[in-house]
Amino acid sequence: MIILKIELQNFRPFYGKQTIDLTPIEGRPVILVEALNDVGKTSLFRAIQFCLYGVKKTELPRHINRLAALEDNGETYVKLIFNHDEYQYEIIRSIKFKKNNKPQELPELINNDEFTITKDGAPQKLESIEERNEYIEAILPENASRFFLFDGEKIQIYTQHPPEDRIKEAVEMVLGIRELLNAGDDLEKLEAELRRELTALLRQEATDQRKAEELGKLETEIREIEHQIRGLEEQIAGAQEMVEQTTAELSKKGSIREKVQQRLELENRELPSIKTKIDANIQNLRDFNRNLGLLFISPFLEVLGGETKVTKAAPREWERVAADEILAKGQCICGKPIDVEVRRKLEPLITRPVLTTQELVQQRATELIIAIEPRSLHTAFIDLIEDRTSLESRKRGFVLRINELGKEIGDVKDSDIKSMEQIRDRAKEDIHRKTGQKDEKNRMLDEKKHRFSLDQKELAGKTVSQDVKQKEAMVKTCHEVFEALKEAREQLVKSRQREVEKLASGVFKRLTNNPDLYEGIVINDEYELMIKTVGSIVRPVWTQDPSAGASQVIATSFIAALNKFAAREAPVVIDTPIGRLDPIHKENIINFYPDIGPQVVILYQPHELTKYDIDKINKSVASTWILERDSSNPDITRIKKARGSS
Amino acid sequence: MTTLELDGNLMLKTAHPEIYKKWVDEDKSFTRQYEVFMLALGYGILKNQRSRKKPNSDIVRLGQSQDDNWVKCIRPAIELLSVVACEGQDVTARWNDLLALADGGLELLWTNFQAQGVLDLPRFLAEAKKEWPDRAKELLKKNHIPA
Repeated sequence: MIILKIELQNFRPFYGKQTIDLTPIEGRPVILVEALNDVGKTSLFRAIQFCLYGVKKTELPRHINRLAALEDNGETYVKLIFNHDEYQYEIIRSIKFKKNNKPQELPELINNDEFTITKDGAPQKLESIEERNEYIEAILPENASRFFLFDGEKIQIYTQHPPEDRIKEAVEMVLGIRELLNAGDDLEKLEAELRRELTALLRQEATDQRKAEELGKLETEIREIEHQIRGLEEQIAGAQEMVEQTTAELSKKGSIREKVQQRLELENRELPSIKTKIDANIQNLRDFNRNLGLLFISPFLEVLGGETKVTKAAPREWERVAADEILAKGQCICGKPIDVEVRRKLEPLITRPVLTTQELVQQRATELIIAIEPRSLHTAFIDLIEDRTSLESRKRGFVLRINELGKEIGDVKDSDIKSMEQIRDRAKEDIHRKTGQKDEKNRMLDEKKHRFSLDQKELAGKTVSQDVKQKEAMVKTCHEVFEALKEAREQLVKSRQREVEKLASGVFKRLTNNPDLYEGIVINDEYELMIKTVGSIVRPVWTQDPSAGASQVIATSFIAALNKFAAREAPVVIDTPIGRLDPIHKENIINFYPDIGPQVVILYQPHELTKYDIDKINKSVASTWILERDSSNPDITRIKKARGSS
Repeated sequence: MTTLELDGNLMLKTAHPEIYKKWVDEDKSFTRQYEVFMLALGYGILKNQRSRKKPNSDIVRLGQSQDDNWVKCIRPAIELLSVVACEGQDVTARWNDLLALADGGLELLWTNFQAQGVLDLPRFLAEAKKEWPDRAKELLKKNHIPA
């Protein structure tokens, strides 16, 4: 499947009819879609999922563009045009809605979603929902689509806890094992049906009627246990769904918790610290301003002082007057008589001729220059001003980040996160308990089935009826085929797992920022991802509590391996491709994305991929699109082809 | 003239006490009013700008403050400027001219402050460095004091 075009009408922020062409070019598989947060990246991503698989009825109104619904009755649709197995398909999923008179509420639907599909222009007749689903499943199974349409930030789910059955099924689907498993299930059902028919025959024909009745009872017990097991499986699946939902939600909220922490750090530590530094700078500047006026006139003083290099200032007027008086009286101001030494020092002060105005000006200017040292004063001033500019800029940055974090955090409270964690933990406990019960029931079932099989064989052996013999032979054949299939499947699973493991390890070594530490990725029978470090130490990823960035790299390696292995050609659509990767992981993953498949649609926000990043993969880019808010109405998103894009 | 020293009773005055109040008492950009006076006087002389308003608000007498910076630097600088940059036949006339120049400079600084929201001191210093040499020659020629 290669997506050619998506047409959207009144879908989420896309008001009116808008189209995006995602056709890749030979050797250029990458299509870039840039948008700021909350502009429509995820909506575009959801449009693909909505068109292919639909959503719950309660979710439908959320896909309707609010503005369109306020204006009149209307229609929301997503049209997906794609090539698959040399045919061109066109799928349209639409919703009709009523004019909404209450802007605060979601629009009302006129009908549930409608679905049409054409293959090379010919409408396909698909009457029931089941038929539609089967048709789409044959193109890209919903369960497997999680490996083709994914959010870079959320794929860590594969590394953060042991995989759930749904993920295992999805992996098996991609590996092409699922079909074999389904065939096995069908054979098991057939064998059970044949055994029931055999029991019914035995109850009619057996010579030992008491034993035949007991066999009938045993069969009823088996059915009852099987029913109980199915009930438990449904409960486990429900709890697993709850774990998955809460984990995804917690992952989102987890990043919010980090943001709350970041905001606290900025508000309580960084900002006060910068404010203290600014206050100190203000005080220093105020101290400095004592000499500002003098610094200001210093170039004038330098002119007045001329080129004279004064090493010692000439005596000032008051010094001359004081010296004159002391020498005349012959004693110091304190009354102590002056000696010859003091007289020798004071006499030059009074014998010096009276200075002219020019000399006085020159002398005063020189004295002032020596006192204020304008050059070092100027340097100190520039330092203070530069410090101030840098501090103010950091402060502005902190305030801006605090505001941004405030917007991102919204109204999520810590108590919401805790209650979500409790729900998830209870669901996990539930899975654990119910799985234990299911295992116990399965053990009982195996025992009873074994006894039933032996009893049935014994009873059939004592019966002469040809019908019984024939039915018994059919049961035996069915069982043997089932066992043979099981063995073949196990071998196939093992070999395919090893291939995926090899592919994932290759990608992981290419993506990790520490290739010398790791030998690769190991995938066990339960599809748990394990990391193999140097020295062949193998540990499950989720027990090592990897960082968000490391998790994303491991999960990406796994997904890339599955995509490379998958028999089906499918687009890879990545929302938030960089997430929380560090610069090395980021560079590795950007360079890797063009190799992930024949069509790679990257939905990113400008901070994730800079021009420098894009330049590195530019030769692989088929086209670049920008989603931006309409200048006249910020609630509307417009799709534009980027300038210079081919 | 045998001395540059002025009578300690001469009073530094301004016609704009509210500007002094703003920068010293409210914004706390300067510690003392005479620091503002010194800057304003320098700027007024550089720009040859005299205020037409009569200064009527006292700041400090020349002989009043015993602050080290005042005694060693600011007072001697004011005395020097009254000789080399002010016009007038006697001390009183030159002193009044000095007050007019200080308020003239203050008015220019205030206009800039109102436009920018801050006193752009780096700009003033850069301006001073560039304009003083020519202005200094002009003043020295006018007052017959060879450089």
